[in-house]
Amino acid sequence: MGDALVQLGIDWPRFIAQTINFAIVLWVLNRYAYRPVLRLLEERRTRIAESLQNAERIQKELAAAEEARREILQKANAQASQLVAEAEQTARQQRERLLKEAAEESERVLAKARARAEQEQQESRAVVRREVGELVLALTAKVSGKVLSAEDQERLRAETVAQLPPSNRSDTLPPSDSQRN
Amino acid sequence: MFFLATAESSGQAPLVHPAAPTLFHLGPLPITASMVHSWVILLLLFLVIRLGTARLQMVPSGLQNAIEAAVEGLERLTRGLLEPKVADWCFPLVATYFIFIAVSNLTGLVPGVGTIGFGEAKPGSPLPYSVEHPHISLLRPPTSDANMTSAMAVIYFFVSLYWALKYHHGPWGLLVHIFGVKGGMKGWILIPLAVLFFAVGLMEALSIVIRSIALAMRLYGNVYGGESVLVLMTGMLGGIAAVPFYFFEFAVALIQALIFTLLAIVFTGTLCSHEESHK
Repeated sequence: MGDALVQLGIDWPRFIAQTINFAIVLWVLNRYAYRPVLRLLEERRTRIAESLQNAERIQKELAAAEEARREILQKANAQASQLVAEAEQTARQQRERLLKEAAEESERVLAKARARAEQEQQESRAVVRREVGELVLALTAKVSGKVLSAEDQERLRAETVAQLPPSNRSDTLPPSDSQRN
Repeated sequence: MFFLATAESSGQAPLVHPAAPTLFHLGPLPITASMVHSWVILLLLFLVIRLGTARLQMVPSGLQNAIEAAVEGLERLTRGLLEPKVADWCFPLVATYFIFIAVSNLTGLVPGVGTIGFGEAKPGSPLPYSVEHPHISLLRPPTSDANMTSAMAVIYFFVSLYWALKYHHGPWGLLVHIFGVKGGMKGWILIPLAVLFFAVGLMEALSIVIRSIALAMRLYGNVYGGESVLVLMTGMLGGIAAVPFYFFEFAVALIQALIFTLLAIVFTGTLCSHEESHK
């Protein structure tokens, strides 16, 4: 056994020296390689896990925001449609009311104009009758050369009026100014 | 003075001496080529690690990537085979085993390592300072020095024993783990089983000691043997014969590192585990 160890060159000083050498290598690797690298790997692992969680959270928030946006948009669309419908209905009602008012107004103006024309026509017709009566009286007096009595005048006037075309409103002529006086 | 070695086989004494050659003495301490090589490896590892991890970035690049990949790979390997708390204890040591052994073996393949040193001058060589064979090489991979492999194995033995005591809450727990009757049997059957498990425990205790010796000698034997083969082959056909063996030794370098590391993990697993985990 001893011979074998000697042949292999194993002795205490060399053995201890090599043990110390290996221990130094172990210490150096542990101090400068394993610890910092394992710490970094752990940190990276944690960070990746956090990043994945964050990404998932952001994805969820994005989905929620998208949902909220869609809801708001739907609500806004619904409100806008309602407003437009209300506005259209109001406009329709307004137009109908205005049209009705305008029709009534025009009817009223027309009726008024018609009444006024009727009245003016009647007045002018009465004036014509009276004028014709007066002319007949004056002509008769001039032709016959005598002064007509009140009765004659009345009779002549009645005959003249009777011969004139009939009037819708008034068949009798109003008495002339001279007669009335 | 040293000579460039042509490393020709003499066919008599071993080409590569089993013991690492002593370069000089520092007081009572002999400084061997493998010790110097260990320091070179230490310096190399320190420089690479400082360059790669001095300013660690959250988004890695270049050397940091390589270091992270190595550390993470070894951590996964350890965690895959051990309980989480045991893996935490075990990881720095087993990762160092892998890195140190791999770097040591690979640097042993660098031309010049083991072939540059002191030796008898080769007469008639066209190269200046040529030697027949370097009896004292300046560098020798620590894994081909039985002192270093034994040192690693002894460190593993004591540290794994400490983990086992810690895991089983003291010596009694460890003894129960080794010699105790497994299987949850009750009644009279316990008596013959106790005898049986005591015998099994003795073998287990013996194997715990032998494992460490086996770890040390397996690694030393493989690397030393590989180095001897390379030196022998370098002397044949003008060195061309060594080319396929370089590829072979390249694989052996990494495989031996992995074997030592995996065995250390597995042995720790058998020591630091409860009965249930065996089922």
